[in-house]
Amino acid sequence: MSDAKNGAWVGPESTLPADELADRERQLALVDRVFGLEAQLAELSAENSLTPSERLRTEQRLIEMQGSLAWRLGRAATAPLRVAQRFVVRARAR
Amino acid sequence: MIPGFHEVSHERLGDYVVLLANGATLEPGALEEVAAVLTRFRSQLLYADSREGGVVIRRPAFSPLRLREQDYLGPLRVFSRAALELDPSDLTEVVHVPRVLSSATLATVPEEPADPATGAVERRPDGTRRVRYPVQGEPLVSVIIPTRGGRAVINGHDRVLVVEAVRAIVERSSYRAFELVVVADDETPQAVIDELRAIGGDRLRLIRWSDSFNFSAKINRGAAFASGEYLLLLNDDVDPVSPDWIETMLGLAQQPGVGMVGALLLFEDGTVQHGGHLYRDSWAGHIALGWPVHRDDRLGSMRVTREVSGVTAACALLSAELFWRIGGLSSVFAGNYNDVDLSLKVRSTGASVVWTPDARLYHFESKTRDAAVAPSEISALRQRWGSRLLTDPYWSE
Repeated sequence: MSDAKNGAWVGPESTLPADELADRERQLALVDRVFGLEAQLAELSAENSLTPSERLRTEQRLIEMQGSLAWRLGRAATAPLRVAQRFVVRARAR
Repeated sequence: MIPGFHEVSHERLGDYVVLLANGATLEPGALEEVAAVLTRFRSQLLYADSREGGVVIRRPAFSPLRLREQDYLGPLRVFSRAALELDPSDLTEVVHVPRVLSSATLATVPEEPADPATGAVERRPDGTRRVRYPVQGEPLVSVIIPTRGGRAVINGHDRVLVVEAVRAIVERSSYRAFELVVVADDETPQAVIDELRAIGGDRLRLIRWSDSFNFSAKINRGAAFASGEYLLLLNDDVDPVSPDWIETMLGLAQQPGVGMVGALLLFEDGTVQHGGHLYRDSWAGHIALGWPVHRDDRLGSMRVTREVSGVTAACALLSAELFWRIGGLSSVFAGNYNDVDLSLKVRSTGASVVWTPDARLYHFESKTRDAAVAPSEISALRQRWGSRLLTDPYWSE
């Protein structure tokens, strides 16, 4: 298949019948689409798709994050809000 | 396999055997931690981070090819009794505990890895080893180079990048079973096309690209024309340094379980452009970007072939069968992250991605390049691979 524009380079080039090239590129696009959807699906159950080492590393990152100054400051800053939220939930439950 | 252990009667061993290097001690609670992990996960081998000479040494997830060149497991290793006799690089159920479970006042001396079943072993000056994996057969490698015939001044000389890249491959690569598949934009100057034909000769397949820019689609177009058993994706602004770069990458790609292989890429000034991909905090970048070439991390990761999360498509080799099985490069990622997506697709098949310092090329990308990343590319990447981008199992620093 050749679709040269005006001013484009000329001379011998490798070509394929247009439908054959389109079929090959469509095949790649379709397989990629399936991979993309499978990956998104796996994301929804990411916990199950992690290896033991990855799971341990993720847990460790969580522990480190929860021990960080930024996390503790954030928790302290939002504490009144969380207490108020608890009161609201209890009040609605009555 | 473990020195001295052949003298111990197996009947006297428990289900698991804790090996501690000479001079190392266990951290408080280490055995309880080990037991807890072994209760959760079946494991033939368990190892952990350590503190050596007062410095915390973080270790990568299990990397069997790396283990053949460098014992990175550290002073504490826990084997199941059945795994004691096996070469650790052949194990399949290996768990890394990302916590400091042992300490040593001095750095512990690594063990000499077992010789691999295939491959010639050479000792590097720094004490690590290089395993050369011979190429099985002489498979055709299709080198796919997308280009628009751009020019740049390199080392003070104005050059047409793709012409010099093709010339270097043809004249300096010791592996000869390759074809060149150049996907050239319509706008590529005629003189560049003519020169490519003169240099490439019968090896050259020139493919026209008339659509708008899409790096992934251009590579896929090249793959549609390629007849090689292996595909080598290559930018047009590279210059191979190691004459044996193709066979080094090919030998690794032919190893069982290996999906894709990347190379050490250097900027024009000799600093590191690519030491493998690093995925962390929902972000993807290059390991060792801008480092002097002799700089290294505490483990000596830049000196050895090792498993990585991904490699750049500026220079990556994989089998054509795998490329087609995973749908090639995704055209969703027209300009950025297509190699991140490709690497993660490769790994999702269960195959590994490997980087080697023994295939070395210059990559004349600007150090200050600021890639314009489309929001849709970031969004698509995180939708597909969000959890894979949070922490990098192979790079801890």
